[in-house]
Amino acid sequence: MSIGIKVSRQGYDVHTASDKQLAFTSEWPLLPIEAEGTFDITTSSSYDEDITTHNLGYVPVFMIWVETSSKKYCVGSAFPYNIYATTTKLHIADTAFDTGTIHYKIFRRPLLTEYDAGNLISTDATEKDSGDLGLIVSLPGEDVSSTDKRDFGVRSDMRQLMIHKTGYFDNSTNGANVTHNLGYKPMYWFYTENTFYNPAGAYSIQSQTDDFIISATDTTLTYTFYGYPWLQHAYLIFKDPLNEAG
Amino acid sequence: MASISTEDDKIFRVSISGEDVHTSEPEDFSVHSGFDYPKMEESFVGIVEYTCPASTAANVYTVLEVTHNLGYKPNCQAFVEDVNNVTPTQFATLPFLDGYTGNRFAAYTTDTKFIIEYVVLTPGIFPPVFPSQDFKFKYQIWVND
Repeated sequence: MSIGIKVSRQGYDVHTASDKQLAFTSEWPLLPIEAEGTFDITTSSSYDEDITTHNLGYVPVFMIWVETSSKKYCVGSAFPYNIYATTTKLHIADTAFDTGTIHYKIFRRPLLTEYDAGNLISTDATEKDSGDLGLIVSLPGEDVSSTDKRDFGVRSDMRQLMIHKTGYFDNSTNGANVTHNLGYKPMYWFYTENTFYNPAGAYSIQSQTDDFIISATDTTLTYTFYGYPWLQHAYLIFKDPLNEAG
Repeated sequence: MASISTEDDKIFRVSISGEDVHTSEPEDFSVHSGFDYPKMEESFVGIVEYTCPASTAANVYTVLEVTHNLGYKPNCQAFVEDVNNVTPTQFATLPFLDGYTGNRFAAYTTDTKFIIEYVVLTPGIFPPVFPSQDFKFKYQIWVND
């Protein structure tokens, strides 16, 4: 008999909820935040320095946001700061095009991990429950009765980022199909070992650009890199759809 | 390092299927009370469809405005579907920039709102790409800041 935990999102019957209607489960991981912080940048200033030292011994999954003029942007092709992670550091090597603050989160998960959670229940539940039961876990030192939801690690009345599949491809290919079989187009994060600009073993967030295309179907996630030489890429696929609220 | 985790916290731990719950490796847990996780309110996750205006005049258009009133700038992420109206399986994370015109979609938060905007720059030597095209966005506003 297997032992585990399965917690549905508020309003879904845990017996019939589909995988993406869960808040979390012992069947697959979430993204634990190991570290977070900020790094101030000034217009036209050049940087080649460590943002932080993590010393995890592996290249971690990380995410970046950029705050400027009191607006906090998610990063992408329009704000392409060259920020990369190595097995020990998060590093910036770029010239700031605006004054602002970089916000980072480093997750306790190796980026270069082949993992496939598989699919357990793919059909969404239509029957809703009363939503009067659930599970909340406060962070160390925080009161479980707090009204500030930042004081909690996980909550069943909220969505968590559940990992469906992760992996990576070496530079022997300029693209690949990743079969996920989720039945919907999934959310993803991509990373690149950009040896054009950065040291080997350093990974930066990869957005869709003119030379990097990402497409998704209900069964497959596909990427194609049109540059040369080819580069190594890593990805995360989440149990969360791109084309519906989910 | 600006670590925010408490690895030795043992109030609530759930190991991933197949892993020993007594393991000391945080990577082997599906939930660990010593860690914070990205999380989002149900009401702050959604889909919006948008047709870009036909005008090519320089302007900033609001695709979506969601009031969160959290009193801080939460993290967010957003994706756009059908980035060129030719291959509807293509997706991009925001901000997404059209490399020819500089026109872009961007998503950001303030202390009270989440905004997806469409920025039209003054047309250059290349013809505009986005006008009158249809796009679909998926967005998430996190509780985490």
